[in-house]
Amino acid sequence: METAIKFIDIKKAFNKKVIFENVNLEVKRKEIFGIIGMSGSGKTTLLNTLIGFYTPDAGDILFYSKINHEYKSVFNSLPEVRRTFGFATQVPSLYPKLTVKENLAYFSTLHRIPKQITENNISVLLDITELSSEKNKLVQNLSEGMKKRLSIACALIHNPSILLLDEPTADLDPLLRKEIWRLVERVHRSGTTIIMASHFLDEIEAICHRVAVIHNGRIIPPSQVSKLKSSLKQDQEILLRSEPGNYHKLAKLLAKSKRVKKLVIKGRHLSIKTDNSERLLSTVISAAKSTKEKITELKLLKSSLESVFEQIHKLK
Amino acid sequence: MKTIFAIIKKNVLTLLRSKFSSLIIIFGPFLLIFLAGTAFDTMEKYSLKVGVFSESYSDISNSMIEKLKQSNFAVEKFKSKEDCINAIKREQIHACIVFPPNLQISQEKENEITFYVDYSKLNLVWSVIDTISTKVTEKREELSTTLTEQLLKSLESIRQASTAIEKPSQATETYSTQAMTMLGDDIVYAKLSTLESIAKSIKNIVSEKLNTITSSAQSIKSDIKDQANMSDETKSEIYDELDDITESATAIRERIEDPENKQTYDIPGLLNKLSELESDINQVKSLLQAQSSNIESVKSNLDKIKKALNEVTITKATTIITPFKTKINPIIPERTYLTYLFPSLVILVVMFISLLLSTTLVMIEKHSPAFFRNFITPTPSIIFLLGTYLTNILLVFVQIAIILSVAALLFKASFPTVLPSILILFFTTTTFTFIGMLIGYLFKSEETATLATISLGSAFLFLSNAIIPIESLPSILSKFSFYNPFVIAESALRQTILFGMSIKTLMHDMIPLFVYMAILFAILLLLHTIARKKISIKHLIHGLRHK
Repeated sequence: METAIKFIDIKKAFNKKVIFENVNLEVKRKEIFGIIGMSGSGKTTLLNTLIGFYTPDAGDILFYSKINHEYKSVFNSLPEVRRTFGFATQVPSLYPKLTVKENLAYFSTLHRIPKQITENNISVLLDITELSSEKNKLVQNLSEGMKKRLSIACALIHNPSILLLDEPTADLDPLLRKEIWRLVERVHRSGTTIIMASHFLDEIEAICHRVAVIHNGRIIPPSQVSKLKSSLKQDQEILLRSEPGNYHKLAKLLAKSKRVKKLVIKGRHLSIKTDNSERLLSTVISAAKSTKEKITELKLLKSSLESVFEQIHKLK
Repeated sequence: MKTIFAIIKKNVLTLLRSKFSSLIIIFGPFLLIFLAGTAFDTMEKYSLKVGVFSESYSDISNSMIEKLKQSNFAVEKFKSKEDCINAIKREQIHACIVFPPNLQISQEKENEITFYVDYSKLNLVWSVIDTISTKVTEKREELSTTLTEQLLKSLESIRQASTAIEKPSQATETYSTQAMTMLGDDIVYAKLSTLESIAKSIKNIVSEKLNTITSSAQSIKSDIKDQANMSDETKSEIYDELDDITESATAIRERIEDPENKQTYDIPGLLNKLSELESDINQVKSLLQAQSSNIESVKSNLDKIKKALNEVTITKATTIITPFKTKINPIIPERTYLTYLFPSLVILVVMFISLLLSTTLVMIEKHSPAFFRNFITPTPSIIFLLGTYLTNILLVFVQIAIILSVAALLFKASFPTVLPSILILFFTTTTFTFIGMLIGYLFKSEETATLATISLGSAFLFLSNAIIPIESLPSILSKFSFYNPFVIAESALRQTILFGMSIKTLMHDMIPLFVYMAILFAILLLLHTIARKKISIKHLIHGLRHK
């Protein structure tokens, strides 16, 4: 795959506080690239630098120009960057007093898209974001999920080849998060390169082809993250509580599964250690059913992002 | 252009979809002009309440009170000066007039009518003073006229008396001059000398004749003695007779020459009397001279009085009281207060609406979640600025249209110079919009920006003619005030609406506005460009807070 974006030794600091430095990354064309990091790690700053909002203190960011078929510095070609990139911010950048359609039309005009094309783009984007029925609704009356989808639609109104998503599922419930995932996948299918910043490990894992971690001003490149991921998978745990609570019988049954690494009875709970909690979950539910245990509590304890970053920190 | 229209449409929709904003935009100016029109569409001074106090009211003070009542003043009598003054403080009355006790016109008394007014009521105090003092002055003029008429009457009497004195004094002078001439003439002295020499020659002749008589008597006697033919007795008788004659002659001589014999034959005495008479005449002459100079002085003073009286050519009391009448002619047809206030009112509304609306628009935009997205579009800063500016212009002109329509339809206000007025309003709106936008970009929170806008608007208002005349401000502030955009705009609009001045005439006065516009637009462009950088930092912080 061709490289769409190249980060070359990028450094950015605010008031002598280094947000990140020595960032060297390559984003391939038509891939979904994830940037994961804790709050305040510099994900948004990195995205803002990518679209030329911030000038880096050192280094350069190159993007592939479809017009000239060559790599150009983002900071020397801002007008083209604004046509090439679409950016959906964490807080939806929308006008609450305008309708869905008016917001799309307004941003389309700012991108100087001809009226005919705008009409078509709006129609397509409303379909993709499943907002057609809401097109005449004021944004202030939309749900958070709808706003997020509309924000992504606005970022796509000028047909950018690269879409930046900053925490697209932040503040959303699991159902709405999955809606957004589906939307991202739909957009990706249309051939758009997507760079997504998030602090949800599962989201990044579920959607992104490659992931970079930003932590303490350093970037862990996708290659290292892959290795880390496999090592951290061992730490997943399912915590079960059931009635009447005959865990020995249940544990015997579960021990047969290859995914179960360890079984421990912790007071009124049964702890099941695994490397893939999501897949084991169905096995646990069916085992409880067969042993006539009525599940009263079921917790999926994945490795917290904090611990992942701690691991990364240790690795560094 | 399409982009600008899109921004304007977005701004207008954003504002109008807020019910409260729409109400303010449409009904705000309507309400404002309706209230202003109802309040000022008159030339009357309503309900001026005046308190009066005097220890004892005289006819004059009562007539003054009556005059005030006739002029629709609500007059209330107070029991003491303090009560009257306190009533002003409690805003029960607008002014207090204290008449001196038993106000009478007399030489000994100095009558002072004291007005007490509340200077803290700047907008009312001069009107109250003017209105009340006009009424009191009318009464004062009446009294002055009466007194002057009396004075003139007396002067006329003096004039007549001086004319009457003139003739006798002239006669006296003539007589005096004649007497002087007569006394001063040598004839009197010549006559006196002649009289003296006659007296002397009479004396000599008489002496000589007496000597002749005596010697003749002696010679007769000796002749007779020699006469022999005469008896001695005859001789003796003749001798006796001759002796008697000689004795008589001697007695006459003695009498003539005897200084003690004054009564009958006192020639020396006569001469002395003549000398005394001359001396007396001289005295009379000097007295006459003194009299003549007195008469001269009286005459001169009379002349002066006459001249002075003649110089009093104006002998009409009303003319003396008011030597010239002042007539205040309005340079425009007298209408209602609304007509005079209208330019100030419109500029005031335009100033506050432009300032507040533009600040609000910028703040709404800045705080809008979509602000960031605007900046990652290829639309340049200048287009956003123009969009905000034109939205403001549009909305302000809608409001101006409402104001003008209400004023024209409900209060029959007329606007003879539409095009120049619109141009002035356009420049004014532009200036204040730019100022408002600048505040919007400079301040972070909407509250502080609004506060700054209102404070600035108020400062513009205070440093204008709206509250007190600029000329009465300290000189530095006064000079500064002439560059106040509110003052410039208000003056230009007033000249246009009231006096029909052309925009070409006013262009020079409006140069500062154009300079402000250019400077403000340059600053705004700079700020907007900086904001493009700043917003990303804010966006970052905002994002972090939400995580």
